[in-house]
Amino acid sequence: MTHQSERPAAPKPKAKAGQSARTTIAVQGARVHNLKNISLEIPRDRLIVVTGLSGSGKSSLAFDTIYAEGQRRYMESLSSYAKRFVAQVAKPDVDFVFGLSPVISIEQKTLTNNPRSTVGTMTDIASYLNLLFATIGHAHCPRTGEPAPSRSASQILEAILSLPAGTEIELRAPVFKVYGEDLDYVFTELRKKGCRRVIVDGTSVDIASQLQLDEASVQDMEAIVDRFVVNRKHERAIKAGIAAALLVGDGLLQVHVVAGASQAEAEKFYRALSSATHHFVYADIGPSYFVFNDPESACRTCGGLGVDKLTHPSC
Amino acid sequence: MGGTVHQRFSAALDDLVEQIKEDRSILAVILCGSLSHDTVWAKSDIDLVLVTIDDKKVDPGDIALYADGVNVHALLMPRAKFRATVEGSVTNSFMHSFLAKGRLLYTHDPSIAQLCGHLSAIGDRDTQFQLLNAGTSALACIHKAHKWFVTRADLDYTALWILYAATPLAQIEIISRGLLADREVVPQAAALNPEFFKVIYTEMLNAEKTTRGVHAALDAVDAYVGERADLLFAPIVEYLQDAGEARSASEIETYFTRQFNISGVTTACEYLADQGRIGKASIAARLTKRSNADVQELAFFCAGGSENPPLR
Repeated sequence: MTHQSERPAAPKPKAKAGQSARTTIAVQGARVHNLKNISLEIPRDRLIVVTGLSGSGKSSLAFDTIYAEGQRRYMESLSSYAKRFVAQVAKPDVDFVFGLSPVISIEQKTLTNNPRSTVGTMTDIASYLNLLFATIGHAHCPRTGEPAPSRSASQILEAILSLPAGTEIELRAPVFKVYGEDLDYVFTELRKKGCRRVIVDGTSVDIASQLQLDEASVQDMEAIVDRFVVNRKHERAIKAGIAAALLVGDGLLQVHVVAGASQAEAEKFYRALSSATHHFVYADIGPSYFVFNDPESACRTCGGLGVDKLTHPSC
Repeated sequence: MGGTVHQRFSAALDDLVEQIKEDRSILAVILCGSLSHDTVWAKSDIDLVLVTIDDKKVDPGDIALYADGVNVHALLMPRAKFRATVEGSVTNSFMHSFLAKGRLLYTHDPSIAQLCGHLSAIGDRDTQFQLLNAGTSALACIHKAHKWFVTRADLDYTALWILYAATPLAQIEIISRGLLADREVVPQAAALNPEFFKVIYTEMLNAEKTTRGVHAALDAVDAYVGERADLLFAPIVEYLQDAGEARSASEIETYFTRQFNISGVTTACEYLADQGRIGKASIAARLTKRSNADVQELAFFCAGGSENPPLR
């Protein structure tokens, strides 16, 4: 961060018309509110922090001078018809401001103290970032961090149908405990979604039965959603099975070759479709994957708040 | 006569199944109901589950068919829904029992045969919640029976409430033995525990009601539930132990209704409190969201954990 203090010296504009773009924003003769005819030059394309004592004119400079001038200039570019619908901004009391781009102002609001409200959510920038991540992001295996491909449900279906006819496959959905949930709750929810068998750390268990599992030691779980014998005539059923598995796995599934295909065929299938170790494949990553206020996509440690409180062992 | 009716129904079913086999949108036919596991009579119908392809144009639902003079109730179920029903239904629930007692007549999809094979496995976790459901239902009827016996000495009405309790008590008898409960569960249970069901069912139904007989039936019912209370109501005790503090009746009801579709658990809590297994308390509550005064709501707790005395 750079700290730019208020300086009385007049700045010298560096760039002339036709030359390279300005690298600073120059303010001369600012007299808004508490500002005493000050002039200063602020570097562009940098993160600038304006600090100072209360009442020293920080907000007057940032909001009431620089932002107000930028907004006024933008408004002037609009037609008089459009101006009727937008609140007019008064011209700030300043001699001139050089080097302004279109401006956005995010004002500090202290009315609410909700930790789930951020600059991103207040400005909707978070929503656009979510969309950006969903569009251009590269997915990774949630367990190993290896690259995991993203395929549409139709592509997954075609990949399955490319296996030799008669191959037995299982559609599995990875299951994760969301922050604060226990296994009993997770299994009850899985039953409601129509699953009875779960692979817990490599062992198949029947969740309709009482299980003696150590909650803390359970690492990996996959619900067995459906099982098929690959054949073109079962295409509709497999398609519905993929949809069901994606519903259980929140957009992530695993196609497990059970029997009927050679080791080489299975390996080729896994390589083409899924991640290396756990054979996961994502389907159509959506913006909702990146919403930190949604328990399904939030960080499992902090629940999306960015703070993790622990009791110190010595206390 | 019975054999003739059975033959007529079987012949009608065979013809119908041959017709359905030609239908490419039907993946499997499962025979359920009386013809698959019970005795049919002239007024019976044939219950079929037809597993259909998963297609937007194939609507689930049921249809009344007519095959060679026999009524057929056909339930159309897309394969995905059938799978979710088989895997997701709590074992010994009505739907599970209906399918589990069925017979797969044919299928074009081998995975459906595998799914049907899973139906016979009864999970003990599911059993626990089915027992709680049956136990809670029985307690409500038993409570009413006691009330009418004590307050009015009305033997007929007391006997009626005992008979109402016979069905959930029969479910307890069957489910606790790890068996599949029929729709007609009382005769099934009476065959396994004739002594008990003679007192609370046959005699309440057929014999003249005397104070001694009705009292004996009430005692038998109380003893039957009391002996099994640890098993029947274990989920409630575990829930309160995990909570580690008092939970209001509405919280307890909400939890068991949402999680396991079991309502009326407060009755079971009252029973457990009467037995000294859990504690009874009250928690401040507001009657409406706009209430400006607190009232005390019924609550229960399990303070002692595993140190609590066993149920009497």
